[in-house]
Amino acid sequence: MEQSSDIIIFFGRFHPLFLHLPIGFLALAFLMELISKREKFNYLRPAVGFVLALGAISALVTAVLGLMLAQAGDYGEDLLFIHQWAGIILVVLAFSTWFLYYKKSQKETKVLNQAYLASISLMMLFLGGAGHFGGSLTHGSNYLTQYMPDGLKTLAGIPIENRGPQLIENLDEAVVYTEIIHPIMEIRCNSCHNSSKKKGDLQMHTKEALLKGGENGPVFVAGSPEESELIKRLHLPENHDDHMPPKGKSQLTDDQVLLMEWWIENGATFDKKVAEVEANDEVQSVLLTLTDPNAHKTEVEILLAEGTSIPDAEKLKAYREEGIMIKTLSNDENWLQVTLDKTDPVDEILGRLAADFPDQITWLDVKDTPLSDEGMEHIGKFKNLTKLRSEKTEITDAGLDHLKGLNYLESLNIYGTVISDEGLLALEGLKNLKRLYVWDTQVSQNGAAQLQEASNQLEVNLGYEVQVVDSLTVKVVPVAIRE
Amino acid sequence: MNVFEEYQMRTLQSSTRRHFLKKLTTGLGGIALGSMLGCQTRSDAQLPEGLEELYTQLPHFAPKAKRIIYLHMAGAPSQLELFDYKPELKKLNGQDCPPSLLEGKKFAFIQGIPKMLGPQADFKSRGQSGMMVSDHLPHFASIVDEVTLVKTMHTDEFNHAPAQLLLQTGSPRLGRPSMGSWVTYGLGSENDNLPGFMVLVSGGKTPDAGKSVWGSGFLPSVYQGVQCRSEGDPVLYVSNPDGMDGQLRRQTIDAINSINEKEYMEFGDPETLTRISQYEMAFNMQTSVPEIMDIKDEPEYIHEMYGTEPGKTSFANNCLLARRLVEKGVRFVQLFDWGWDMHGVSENESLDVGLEKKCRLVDRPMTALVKDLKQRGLLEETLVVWGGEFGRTPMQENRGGREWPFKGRDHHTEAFPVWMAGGGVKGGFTYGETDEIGYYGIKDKVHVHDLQATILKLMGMDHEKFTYFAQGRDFRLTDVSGKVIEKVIA
Repeated sequence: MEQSSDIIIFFGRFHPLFLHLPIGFLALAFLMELISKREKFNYLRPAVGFVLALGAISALVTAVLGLMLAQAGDYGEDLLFIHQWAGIILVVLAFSTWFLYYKKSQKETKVLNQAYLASISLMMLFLGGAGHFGGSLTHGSNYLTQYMPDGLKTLAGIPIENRGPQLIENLDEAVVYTEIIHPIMEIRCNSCHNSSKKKGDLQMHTKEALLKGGENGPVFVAGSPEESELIKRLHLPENHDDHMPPKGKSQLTDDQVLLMEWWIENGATFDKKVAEVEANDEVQSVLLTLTDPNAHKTEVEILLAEGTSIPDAEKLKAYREEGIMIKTLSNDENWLQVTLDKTDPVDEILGRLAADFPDQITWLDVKDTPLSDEGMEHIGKFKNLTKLRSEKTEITDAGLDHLKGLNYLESLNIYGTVISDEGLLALEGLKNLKRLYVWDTQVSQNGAAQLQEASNQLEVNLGYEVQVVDSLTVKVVPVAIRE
Repeated sequence: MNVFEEYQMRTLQSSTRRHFLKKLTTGLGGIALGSMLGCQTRSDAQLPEGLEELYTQLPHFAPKAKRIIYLHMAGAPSQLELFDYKPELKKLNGQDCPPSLLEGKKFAFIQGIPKMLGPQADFKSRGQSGMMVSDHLPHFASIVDEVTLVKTMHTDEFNHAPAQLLLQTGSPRLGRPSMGSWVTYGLGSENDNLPGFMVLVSGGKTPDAGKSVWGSGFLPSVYQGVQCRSEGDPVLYVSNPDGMDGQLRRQTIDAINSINEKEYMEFGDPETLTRISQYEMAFNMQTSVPEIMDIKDEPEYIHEMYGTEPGKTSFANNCLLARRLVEKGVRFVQLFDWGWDMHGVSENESLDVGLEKKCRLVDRPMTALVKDLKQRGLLEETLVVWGGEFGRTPMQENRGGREWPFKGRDHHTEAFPVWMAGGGVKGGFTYGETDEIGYYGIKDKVHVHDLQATILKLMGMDHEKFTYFAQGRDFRLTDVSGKVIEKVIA
């Protein structure tokens, strides 16, 4: 018994080989019928019957082989049913078309003619249908459209799937699995673990599939990320054979791994909302980025990420030929950094730079140059300046006044200048200022403290206070003026 | 979408090692034929153009750090006495090591069944972050809030030389460019009068792996580290001999350079260009190096801070020099301090005496370096990295199967610390966890290649794209692995 079923499948496997014959013959017959309507080609008409006969017979053989192949049971039942019956009807239609052709050639009547035309058209329809469903059966139903450009999909009315994590509007109400976990799996797991492809006998596209697990057992142990196969594999070194997703595929971000762990830790539920699940600070902060990607970014980071307009290439080239170090922060950004040398006429160059690149210059290094308050006036025009190194220059308190409008200034170095507490007053409005270096200036501890009070993120560095006595002692005298 | 590129990618992705080997049988003949017929390799004569192309791609990201000071403690300091606080290990002190820890393990010296050795130092919680740091490092304890401590470094090599090479060049064998060479090759120098990559050595010995740890490998030799001495001539033979004045020297160099230029026109060997620029650099260094290496002009409180003594060779002097060099725009300053190999076979190589001595020589200056960089505003754009080439065992070393009068630990590859400060890393942050006895990393393990990838990222480079074509293929610092540790980046 077993022997016979094996031989059936052996023959069945010839189905994919034979099926191209009826497709070719029947399509050819239809084509010949069509063009033989033109007088020039009507010599083809007598041959149509022969081709139809070949098509009908090969269709019959193919169908039989197909029925044998179906015994292997490797195919989805629903699609198989459609394909099988489309094939059988095709065989019937092929024979009836041949029969009608034969009748028609003996005695042509209007009715016969119409029946023949209807039959051959229907036959073509079923030929296409049976072929298509057969293809879907072996390659998957989205085989043809998977890589269709989005534009064409819209035209064809195929929905463009918005897969992967989307911005969440109402975080508290979002269902953890549906809106956070599933979308991550959708883009990182489901290409190999889905309804038609199941690597390691594992599917991950639905709740049921996840709960079912694969050939290596369950996907997760609810409540215990450490024991969960899913989490273990995410943490394996990327070179490890068992690491998932496999080396070379896009990996989960650290944040996404954290969310997965959090979900499993809290019971791997499929219906709980974010508000119903406990989350520590670390998770909370990651969750926030799901509603607002900029949640943890500073204003300066957002500005720099937004980018700026393209600087005039000709002008850039001219500055470089002059020997001025001016370049973009990185290869794909337009932001500029400029470093001037102590031998440069700094004030004059800054004047030109302020006219040419007022928006693009964001890092400026003019340390140890003869920079004066006049130059500071020009610097005040770089409205997106975030870092300014102007230590050991000739600037005074009056010069700092020009920095008042630099809202994005984050780091300011003025050590080794004659700046005093009075000058610092001008900096009070700079809400993004984080680091200020005023060692070796006239700035007092009080002055620094006062400025620091105005902003909670500002750190003013006044220089030494190395105390640590012992293990070879040290007690460097504080250099800043203490009052 | 570039259809052609995509096609190429897909083709490459689908050809496996097996395909490669199969094709190789005919390919090898072709390669041999090519070299017999005298084909030019790609690196010949095209280098300057290649470099230009490279500079248009770099940096890949806006850099967080513009310069690096790498403090390499050669010999591998013990994590269990300095940064990895393990009270559990104290309880196990003196007990036989369980066989499960020894199975399938190779050690440099440990034989048979060693005894566990508790921490030989006390720890306290330091700074606002509460980082646990040993009493051996009281100075460092004051800067923990500037520092990211990675506790779970691991490496593949358990002997000094290969481990140092792996850490500094990305490969345990000779012949690869060092991290400093890669970085200066990619980003160039900010100062025309000084080499972009400078090396300072203390502790009485060069590292076990020799000068290859700052070699340029297959990169043009202009990118190799230039070693400076803090005693005598800073760079050997850089000063003029008696009877030769600057003018004559200039003329000599001009003459040599014009001959070399002709040579280059004829043969196109990039090493000739290296030679020309090295002559120029050497001439400039005749004035710039003595000036920068002379620390006598530093004010008294700076000397007090670092514990420097002008004219001597010491780690302290080298730290101060490192600051002076980065202040002048040197891209990569590599310090090596030898003498951390505490096996317990003599007083100076012991955890009970030698380690503390070593810490005293290093703790104050490395702390001063971070503080000094900070007050100059340099720390935010200078990355300071500190660490050895591997860690040490929680077991006491029993070399020769006997007990030794001093306490020591053997080489250990699975867990060792590295700390970083400035240059875009977080402050007061600890990354990774080790098990109860500091034997293995149990969370967030960091391989040496991961550290290299992270350092390159901080400098604005993508370690996977930053390559150099040599010997028939593209090379990178991180070889074929390495993952950026995004979490340590501020």
